[in-house]
Amino acid sequence: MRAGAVVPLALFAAALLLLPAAGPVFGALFPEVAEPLYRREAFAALALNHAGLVLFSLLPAAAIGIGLGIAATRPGAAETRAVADALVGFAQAVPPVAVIAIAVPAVGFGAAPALLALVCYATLPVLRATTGALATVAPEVLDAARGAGMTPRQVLFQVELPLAAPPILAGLRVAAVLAVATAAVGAVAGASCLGTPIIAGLVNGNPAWVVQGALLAGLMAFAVDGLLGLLAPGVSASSP
Amino acid sequence: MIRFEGVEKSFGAARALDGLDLVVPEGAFAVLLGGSGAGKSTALRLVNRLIEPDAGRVLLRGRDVAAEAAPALRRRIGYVIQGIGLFPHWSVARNIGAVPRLLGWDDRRIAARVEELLALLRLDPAEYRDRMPAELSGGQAQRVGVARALAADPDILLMDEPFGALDAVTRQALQAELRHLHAATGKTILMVSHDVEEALALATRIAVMAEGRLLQEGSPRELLDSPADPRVRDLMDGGALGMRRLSLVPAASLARPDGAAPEGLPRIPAGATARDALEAMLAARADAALLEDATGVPAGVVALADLLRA
Ligand SMILES: Nc1ncnc2c1ncn2[C@@H]1O[C@H](COP(=O)(O)OP(=O)(O)O)[C@@H](O)[C@H]1O
Ligand SMILES: [Mg+2]
Repeated sequence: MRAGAVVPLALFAAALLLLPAAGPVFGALFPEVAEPLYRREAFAALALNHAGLVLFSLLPAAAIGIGLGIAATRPGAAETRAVADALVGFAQAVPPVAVIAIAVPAVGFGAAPALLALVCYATLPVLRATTGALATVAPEVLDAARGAGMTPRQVLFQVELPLAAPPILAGLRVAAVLAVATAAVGAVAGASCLGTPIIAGLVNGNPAWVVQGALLAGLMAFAVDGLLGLLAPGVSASSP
Repeated sequence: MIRFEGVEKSFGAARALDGLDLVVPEGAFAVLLGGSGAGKSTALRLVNRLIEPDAGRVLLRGRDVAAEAAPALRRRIGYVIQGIGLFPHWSVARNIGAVPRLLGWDDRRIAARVEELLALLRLDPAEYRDRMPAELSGGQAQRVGVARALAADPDILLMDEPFGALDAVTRQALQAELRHLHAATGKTILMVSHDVEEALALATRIAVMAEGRLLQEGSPRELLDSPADPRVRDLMDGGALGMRRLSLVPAASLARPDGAAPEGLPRIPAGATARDALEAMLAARADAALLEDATGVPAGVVALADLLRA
């Protein structure tokens, strides 16, 4: 359990430390490339920006997803639920690159369109997990809670959310891993992140850079999955 | 006292209550009896406002339940359901203390009340206080459910088929405890059941319902002896009218002094019913049974012929 969190984190940290010194290795792997190591920005800085994108998209996504999920499951909120369902279906049908392409004219280049796309994507698993988890609370438990004289707010905070917490946390974990992967796409809109070497490598025909960016992004996803696994044990985003 | 006045309630096209008028006297153990879909649960849930009527009203001691905020009303009414609905993330003690906590009791008072109720329902506090609901048998869970309903000492207890999911032995044990509880506390109990035997074993008043209406209300004996409707007759008879009548009569009320009692008669407790007496006679192939008090002293004799007076 602990090892599941520590090993991916250690791997990610090791890659971050060793990669700047791994120029000769990539030179040997990709002899046709003139500049085998990406040096335009430090990998640590890119990783930090990447983590920032993930964090600042995950927080609003969690708030929106959980909030909407709660609203959709209130008695008499059949319409809210229908709207939420439609939203989920629609948003999942649009690829992240398209969201960014639509967002750039509206909010400009940089981190803003990437954050917008990330919030859209990370909200969905949280919303789905929240509605699903709240729906699993046994009807007789809700009946007993209301019958005992709990107000709707007390039913929600004392009974429904504590019972629904593990699957909601699992949904957050899925969202976080998804966000780490999707954040790389933000480089298309000019956001500085671990996608930046990937895009630069693709544009300049430098597969070594692509590998470096992809390696770090992948290891960060594992590290985040492992860390959140401490919060939501039992369900792994990497093995659903 | 609980009074239903012309209560109507529909769910979409389904008419659950079609003008219910019913009075449950203060201190009664009243059973709403009827087949599935008769509207019993709907009637019960109107009392603590889990359901609001379309027309008519429900009065508690003369006061319309709609006049009080629903949470406050529910905190002074005990509620037990078939599914029990213990809060699975809370210990037994926390479950039982749920309503007192909502009422703002301090922790010491809640803890003392929990001990008292566990003991009352024959669960060893030291053993069960900290258990989680998943670690209880069905009978133990329902005991905790009843304890939770009693926690804030409500005057009124609503029970919706509370023992429906239990095995026969556990059900009878809990019925006996409920009977003692009612006798000891004088609370007004309104219980839903579809089981005539259960109603006869517990009720001081029975209200038979069908299709959202009251067919007849009365004492168990009145309903057995003079059903006002063929459906009440069929329900109460059930091919066992005589035995059911015997089950309502204390054997002691048919007994004679034991002066000339022959040796070797089967012995039954003084509080046994006439049905228990018949059972003892048939089992022993005797034509009389000897009543004895708790210390084993004879308290009278019931003969087979005496049962005809029941
Ligand atoms: N929440 C509900 N939604 C729709 N129909 C309901 C609901 N509650 C009860 N009913 C309907 O009302 C009728 C009476 O139900 P109920 O009071 O539960 O009967 P009982 O408890 O006597 O079995 C039934 O036809 C039932 O299907
Ligand atoms: Mg019912």
